[in-house]
Amino acid sequence: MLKLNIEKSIGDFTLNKEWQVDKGEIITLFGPSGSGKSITIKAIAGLITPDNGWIELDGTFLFHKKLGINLPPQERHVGYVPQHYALFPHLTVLANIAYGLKTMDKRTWKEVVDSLLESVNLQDKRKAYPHQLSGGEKQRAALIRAMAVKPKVLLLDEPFSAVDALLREKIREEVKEFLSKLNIPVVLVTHDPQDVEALGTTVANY
Amino acid sequence: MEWFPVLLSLKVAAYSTLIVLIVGIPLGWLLARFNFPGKTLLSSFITLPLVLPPTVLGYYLLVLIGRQSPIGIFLQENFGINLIFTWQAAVIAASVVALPLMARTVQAGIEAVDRDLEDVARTLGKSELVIFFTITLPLAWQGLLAGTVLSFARAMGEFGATLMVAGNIPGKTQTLSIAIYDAVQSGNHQLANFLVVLISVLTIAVLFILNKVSQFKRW
Amino acid sequence: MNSRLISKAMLVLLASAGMTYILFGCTQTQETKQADQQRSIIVGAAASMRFAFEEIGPLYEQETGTKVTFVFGSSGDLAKQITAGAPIDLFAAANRDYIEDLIESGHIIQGSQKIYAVGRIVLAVNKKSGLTLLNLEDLLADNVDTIALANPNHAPYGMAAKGALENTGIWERVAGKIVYAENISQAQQFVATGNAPVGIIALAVANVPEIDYALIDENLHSPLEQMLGVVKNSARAGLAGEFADYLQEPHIIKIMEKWGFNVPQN
Repeated sequence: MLKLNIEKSIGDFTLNKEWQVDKGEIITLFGPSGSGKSITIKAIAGLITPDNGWIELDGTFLFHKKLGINLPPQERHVGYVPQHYALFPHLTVLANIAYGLKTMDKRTWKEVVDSLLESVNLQDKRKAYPHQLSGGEKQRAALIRAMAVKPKVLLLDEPFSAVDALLREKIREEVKEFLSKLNIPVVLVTHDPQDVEALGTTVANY
Repeated sequence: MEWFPVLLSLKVAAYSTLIVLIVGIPLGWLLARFNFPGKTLLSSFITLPLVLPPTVLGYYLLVLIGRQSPIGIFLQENFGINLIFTWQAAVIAASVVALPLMARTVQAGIEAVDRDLEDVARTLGKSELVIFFTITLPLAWQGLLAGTVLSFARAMGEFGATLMVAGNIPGKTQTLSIAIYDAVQSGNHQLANFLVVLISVLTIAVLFILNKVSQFKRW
Repeated sequence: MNSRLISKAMLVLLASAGMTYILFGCTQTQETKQADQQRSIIVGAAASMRFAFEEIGPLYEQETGTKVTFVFGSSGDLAKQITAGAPIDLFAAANRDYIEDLIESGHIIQGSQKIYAVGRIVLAVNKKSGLTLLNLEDLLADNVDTIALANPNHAPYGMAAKGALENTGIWERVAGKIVYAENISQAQQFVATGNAPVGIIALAVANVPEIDYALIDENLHSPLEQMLGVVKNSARAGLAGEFADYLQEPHIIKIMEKWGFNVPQN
């Protein structure tokens, strides 16, 4: 369960939001650009510090202004997929997925990465570099890279904005299926009403 | 024709490029990615050698590392080292003038790296230092290379500050630039012309090779 | 792979630390080795002495076995470098002031100072300029547009040149035509290359094919007494003193005179 109540001012704009999402559920943050959706998920990830409020994940506070709690992103156990996937361009798909796993011994992380690659049908692309992948493949690689470290929440920032319109429907289905198997809260940001309709999830309006 | 000045210049340029890499990379990182009080001041201070006349810089260095300075006294008492009029002093002078070029280009290279990549690495549990060495620095390699090229070229051509702290001692501290100056001063125009062509060819060759390398794309 | 990259970075750092040690660690041993191998001294000398000393240096090595390395520069720079601990053994300045100041500040050995040369200034004209000048008043002519002078604020020969122009009473009228050079060699270059058709320079550097010159009356300026002194920090003060004495041997005086210096008998 992810619960939050945060306040953040940037210039004239003040964001003030309160919502929650349960394990295995998806919440879609929907609204025009500049309405604070990305700020919200960056705050959950610990990449931005809110001015006030709290963020609670599975019963522990990631952030609590009054209690003086503010965990660094490294300790929050969140899976984060930014708008353009942010695959590391100088690393192969394999190295991208394995990037967060290198604390394990080699046999273990190889097994984990292999099964992840197979789960999204990318096993043939393990030696490819990100620029050699299609939009959908990048999407899937970024998703399994985030899931590899077994996060307690998954954050997706505009997951379909980088995909052209023709492919969008197909990829939406792929992602929907992928997400349905996860037993953690998922936060998905979009400004496209079609995404909201197709995904059919709980919506937080921004 | 004495080849010593050529070899000395190459040696001084190589050492100072190395020093400037070690100091300039953290500085560039600091300026590109961190906010702290006095950042603007530090930034201006680093740029100073770029705008100060080299002889003025030479006087500063002379005062800073000379025998009567705290640094000079420390080196003298603990190691018996006197830096003034040594080729090591030339390395220091060349490093100081080349540092702004390195720090600035590395800074620009790092600023061009997408912050989302670093953010993702953070959520994957990596420390700032690991992220710097595995993501930021490899992706900023073109800035790094440009900084290296510029620093090397600048160090090769350094004259004013070097003359001040390292002097003009043939066979000991006389670099190529100083040998040219010396040849002009003693009216040996033939030698001066030859050396000018030589340093130009050398510098152009280094710049050309490194420019070629920088066009090579890994991914 | 992360750990591999980090260990690579560590290796680079270690290697550079090692190089830094090599770089600064062996300075001293190298220098002492050099001193053992050969008797040698370093003489910091005013730019005006270049031609004369470049002739005397090899001669001295031949006769005594002591190698002399000259570091030529402006006397002001050399004085600052000596103050900063430059390993100069003997300082042959372009005037008295620098030596006397360094004695006072404890950088030059009291009693080691002496006048080793008295210089002259000349009115120098580029041969291709088409000008014929015989005395300073000729500088007032309209066809003289630029006059090269060593900077009188720090170059002794420049001070003398300015003094001569003042005592002739024309300083104010020619001041607008003057271009200042860093030192006397540079002033000579301005004239030799024709960038300044005329200049007031040291006799010591005037004897080149591009230049015609006329001596300027010594009574018009304060004497250009060049003084030398042995540097206090020198580990080879004895050798430095020997070279200072050598400058007054008859065959050396002849060389000094050839290059335009008078050598007073101490």
